[in-house]
Amino acid sequence: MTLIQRLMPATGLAVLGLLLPASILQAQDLTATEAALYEAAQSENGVTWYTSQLTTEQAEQVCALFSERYEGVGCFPVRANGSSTLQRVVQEIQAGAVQGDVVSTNGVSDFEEFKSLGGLAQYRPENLSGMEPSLAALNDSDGYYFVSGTSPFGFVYNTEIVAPEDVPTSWNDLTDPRWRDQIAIAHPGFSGSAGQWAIAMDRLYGEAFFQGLAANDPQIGRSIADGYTLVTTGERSLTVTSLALGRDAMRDGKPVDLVVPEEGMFLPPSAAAVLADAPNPNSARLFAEFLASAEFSEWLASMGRNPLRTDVSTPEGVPDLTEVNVITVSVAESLENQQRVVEMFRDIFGI
Amino acid sequence: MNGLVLKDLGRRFGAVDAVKDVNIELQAGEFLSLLGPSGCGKTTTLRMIAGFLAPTSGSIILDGVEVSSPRGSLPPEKRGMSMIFQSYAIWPNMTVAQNVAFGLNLRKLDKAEIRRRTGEMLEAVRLNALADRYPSELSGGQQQRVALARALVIRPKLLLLDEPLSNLDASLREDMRFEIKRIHDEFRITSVYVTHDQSEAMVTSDRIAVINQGRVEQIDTPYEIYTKPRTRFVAGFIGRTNQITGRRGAQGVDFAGFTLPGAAFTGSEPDVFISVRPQSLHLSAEEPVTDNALKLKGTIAGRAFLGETWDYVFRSDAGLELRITARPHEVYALGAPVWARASSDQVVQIL
Amino acid sequence: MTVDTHPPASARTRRLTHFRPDQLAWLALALTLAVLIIAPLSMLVVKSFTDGTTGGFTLENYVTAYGRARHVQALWNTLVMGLASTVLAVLLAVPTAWACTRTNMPGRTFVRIALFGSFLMPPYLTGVGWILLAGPNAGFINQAWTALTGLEAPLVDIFTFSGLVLVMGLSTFFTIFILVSAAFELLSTEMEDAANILGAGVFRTAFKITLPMAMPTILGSALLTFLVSIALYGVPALISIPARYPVVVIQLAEFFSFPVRIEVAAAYSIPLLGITIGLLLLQRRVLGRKGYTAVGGKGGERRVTDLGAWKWAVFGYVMLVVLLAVAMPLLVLIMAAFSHSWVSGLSLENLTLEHFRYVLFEHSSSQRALITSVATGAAAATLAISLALSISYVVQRRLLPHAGVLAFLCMSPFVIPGIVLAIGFYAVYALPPVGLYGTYIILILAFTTRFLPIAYTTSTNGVRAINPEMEEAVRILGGGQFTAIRKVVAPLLKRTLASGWILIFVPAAQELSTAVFLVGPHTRVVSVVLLDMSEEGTFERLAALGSVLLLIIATIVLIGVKLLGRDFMLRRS
Repeated sequence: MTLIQRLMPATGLAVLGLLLPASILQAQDLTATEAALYEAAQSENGVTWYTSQLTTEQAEQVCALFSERYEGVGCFPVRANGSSTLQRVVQEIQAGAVQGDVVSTNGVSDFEEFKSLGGLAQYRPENLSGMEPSLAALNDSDGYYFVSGTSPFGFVYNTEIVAPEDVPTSWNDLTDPRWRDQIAIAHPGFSGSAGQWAIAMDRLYGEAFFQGLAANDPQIGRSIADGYTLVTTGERSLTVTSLALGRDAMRDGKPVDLVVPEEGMFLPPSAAAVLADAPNPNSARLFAEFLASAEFSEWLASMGRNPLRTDVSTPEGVPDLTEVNVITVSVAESLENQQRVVEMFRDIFGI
Repeated sequence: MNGLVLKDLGRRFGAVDAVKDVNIELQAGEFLSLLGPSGCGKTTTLRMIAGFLAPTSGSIILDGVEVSSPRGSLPPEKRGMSMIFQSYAIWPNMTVAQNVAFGLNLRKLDKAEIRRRTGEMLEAVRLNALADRYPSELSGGQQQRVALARALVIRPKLLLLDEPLSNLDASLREDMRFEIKRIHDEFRITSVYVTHDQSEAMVTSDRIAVINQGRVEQIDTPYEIYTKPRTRFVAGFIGRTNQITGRRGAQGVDFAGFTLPGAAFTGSEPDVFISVRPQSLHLSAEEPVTDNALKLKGTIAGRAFLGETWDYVFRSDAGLELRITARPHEVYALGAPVWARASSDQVVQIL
Repeated sequence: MTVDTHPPASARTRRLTHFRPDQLAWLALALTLAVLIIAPLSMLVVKSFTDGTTGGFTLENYVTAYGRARHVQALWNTLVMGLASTVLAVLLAVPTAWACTRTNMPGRTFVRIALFGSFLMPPYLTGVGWILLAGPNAGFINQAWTALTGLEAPLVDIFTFSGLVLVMGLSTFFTIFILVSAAFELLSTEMEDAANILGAGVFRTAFKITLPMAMPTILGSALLTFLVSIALYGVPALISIPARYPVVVIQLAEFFSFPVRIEVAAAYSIPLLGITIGLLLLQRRVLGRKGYTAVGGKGGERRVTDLGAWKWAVFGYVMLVVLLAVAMPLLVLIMAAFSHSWVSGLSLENLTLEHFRYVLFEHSSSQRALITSVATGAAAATLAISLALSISYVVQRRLLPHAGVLAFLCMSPFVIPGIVLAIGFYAVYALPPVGLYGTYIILILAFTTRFLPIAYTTSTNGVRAINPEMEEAVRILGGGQFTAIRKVVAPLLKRTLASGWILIFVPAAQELSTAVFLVGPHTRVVSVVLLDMSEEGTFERLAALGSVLLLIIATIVLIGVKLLGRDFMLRRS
């Protein structure tokens, strides 16, 4: 926001003017912790948020919401794919030159890596008390990281290309030769959630799954958002991606639909953490509180995503996570298998 | 300026002696030329005098102060000299007047004084009409005069000229020789002039130092150099000459077909060299009656008419070939039997 | 008197007695180069032998880096791709350069100006343009193909080896074009006339006389292109992953992902360094010391060859090059930038300014990145050209003993792929105790280093054109070395300075390979933001941001060209 103000003073002031009444209203429902953090954050430089959890546009929206609620506390999203984000944060921790405040990705195991490097601050947001218990179970027991979102995976396909009778039903359909040259996937070495997904597929169908998939010559992108765009534009007809992204596209009138495979939707939990040497520690903690707050869950719901809290209801058309088949990968399983699966993928796909 | 002394001056580049054991004493107001073929070391000597190059042996003493020695050199800007370069080195980014005033500005003279002296000097080199032109708008001769004016206006202790006329065309070169002579006569600035053109050196100089392979062969007035060359190199380099080798014998020194008395020659080596200029030799159809040091019978082996003179090739009966210059009316046919003679004072022993 | 005019060690003796401040300045230059080049490179070598956890000596990194067939394959692939794209670049550039300089082909000036656009366009934007054009199903060319023929199978597929080579060739041929054009221009027509008189036709003359005369330049610039293409990051990042054609730069990026293995990355990049150095040595041996500027014979009249009716055929080929390299990718990018959805093509209801609004006013990273790119590009250009000028001056004037070492150092980043340089820089300067990670300084320093060879080449040409006697004239009249520089050298080098600055600014403001590991959250440059956008597939926004960057750069270049005269790089004066 500061930059906008610097660039375009008039616009900046106008925006500020619009935000002001709202923030005064909301200031009243701050918890004591939030109020104290807010107070301390005023003198900091805003929060820098490394994320691969959302698209750039969504991250910008979340930041705007945050800055609206906590007027005067800036929020700078730095969106990249899972592996880039991991690389950046590890680099910073190792370099002792931490520039980010909060990190959130779709690979819970990433956080174990950060944690082992001593890069995370122990901070359990107060607002986590309202979290849906099945998700809260995934929070780090030591309080270094917590769940910040879920993005159930399934198939998204282009309805103009795929006939209703051809719609796939099983994850294993990806190895069916009739999908040759039709599939888009994300590279597990680049995308955090694709990495988790690959671990799950390996558990279900083993190496043969990847051999079969490779034979179908899928287009490999660096992020799951890439495959989704490929399908909405008709470049490819079927992709493995976040169902929420598919719902976004449907809402935008794009010719796509989604399927949940019969084995269940794959659920990679997104996690968030405050960095130990965050240059803006109070803003960072305030942002962590925000991610655990009802307001953030409401935003998730408004975007057609599963909310994190019990006090926010699941939006219509979105399956309640407690009621459907779900495939998950535990942190331990992820740590144990990630490198092996990614290497296997690279060897099979040659990239 | 009281004088410039080059004492045992030498400069090595790697294993090569570019200049060796040069000893020259220059009187105030004197104009000395360093004359020699390309690569003889004359420019190296000049650059050592200027301070652009330090000697590897010997020293340079200016006004009784040692300015160069292998232990170090006074930088050029501290020597109070001027130099005219082969390329003129007129600064293209400054006007004629700015070029000329440059040295005065460096001396921090007051504005009016600078203007006055610049004006006078431009007048002296007849460039006052072009004071505000840029060098690219000048002819070669005009640029040459700018260089001259720029060098002289600071009233240098010593003026160095590095082949200043070599880039001019022939007729302009001839004019500029006299221009340089005229200006030297007017300002009486001690000057060292480097050239490979003997006629330039003859016109301009009080004395000429003939340099060959890094050593001074002879220093003398132009007349002495021409008429009394001391070495075979000088005799050959300055004007044309006939060099004849003889051998000491019982009656004197024996040459091919004639003998000269031994008392006329110095030294004790068996071989004796003499130089006889083509115009010191005379031809006649009859045997000459006068007592000549050199008298030979032979034929005309070649001839060319040059307008002002005849250029004959005389071949003696003993097979000695001599070049002889004769006046236009002295016509001898090719193959005609003739006598050639020279008086003893025209025969110069060379080393 | 050529031997003794410029003695090789004039400064040495002077230094013994008069150790003056200017010589301290020259020493500072040497130190600066050590900081910019020696430190990162030696750190790279040291790291490659260092155990990441214990810090002791090990060869393990090399085993990890080259122990897998896939990793070796990537190296091999890189060489194949480099060779193929260089051959393509030569085929695109040399006939075009010939047609533009030696023939009466119509529209020569237009072609030169149009191709200049390919200098302004960074490789990754050409890549994105071609993804929009030749994506196997939705790409415009394939859409048109399906509409025309009804065939579902795509006509062209950018996500293949040939697609990769095409984009690489199109992104890199401009260097060859510019250098070979200059060489052709120096050739005297008399050489061609001599062949014509003996009965050789236009094309025979071109192949037997013109081409061989320019061969050293062609080979030299081709080698340069090869080195550039094997080290380019943007195009492979966009294309080689979907094309499943792993190359070295992608593999290096993998070593930088989970778990981060700088030591292995260092070990992996050493052979790349070796290949580059080896090729340059080979070139030097083959071409002798003349290098790629070797075209003799300045003199003689220059006149264009009349191609007759053939000129339209040649024109057709050259137009094809312009279309493929500049017109088509640029057009689809601009179209995408103004479209709701790029696939829907050109129509009134598809028209929008939304993406420009988003990148200029909403997306916080892009606004900042635009400023960062222009500012760091300008700073690096200024720094590189000042440093290079100082050094080429010291070298040309032999002011320091062993000045040749400085020259060698200045040119050495040539052989360091951008991404490898970034790893070296990261290893030395990002980490404590220096801790420059995430600062503008590290970006500026890295960009400066990366473009030092361009700066040095330009500077050397400029300094060489100034007769040392110009400065000696100042000295002998009583001015010091610095007075000579201030009053004479600097004013005479203004043009060199400005054109060198532009030559560096353009690629520096678009630099990706070096930036990708060095940017911090607040120092992201446009290229990095674009790369991140590309992985989300939001090509419309990417195109909008890319267009804004292109517009800014083009404006700055146009101002420079106005000041310098139009032909500052298109034609040698």
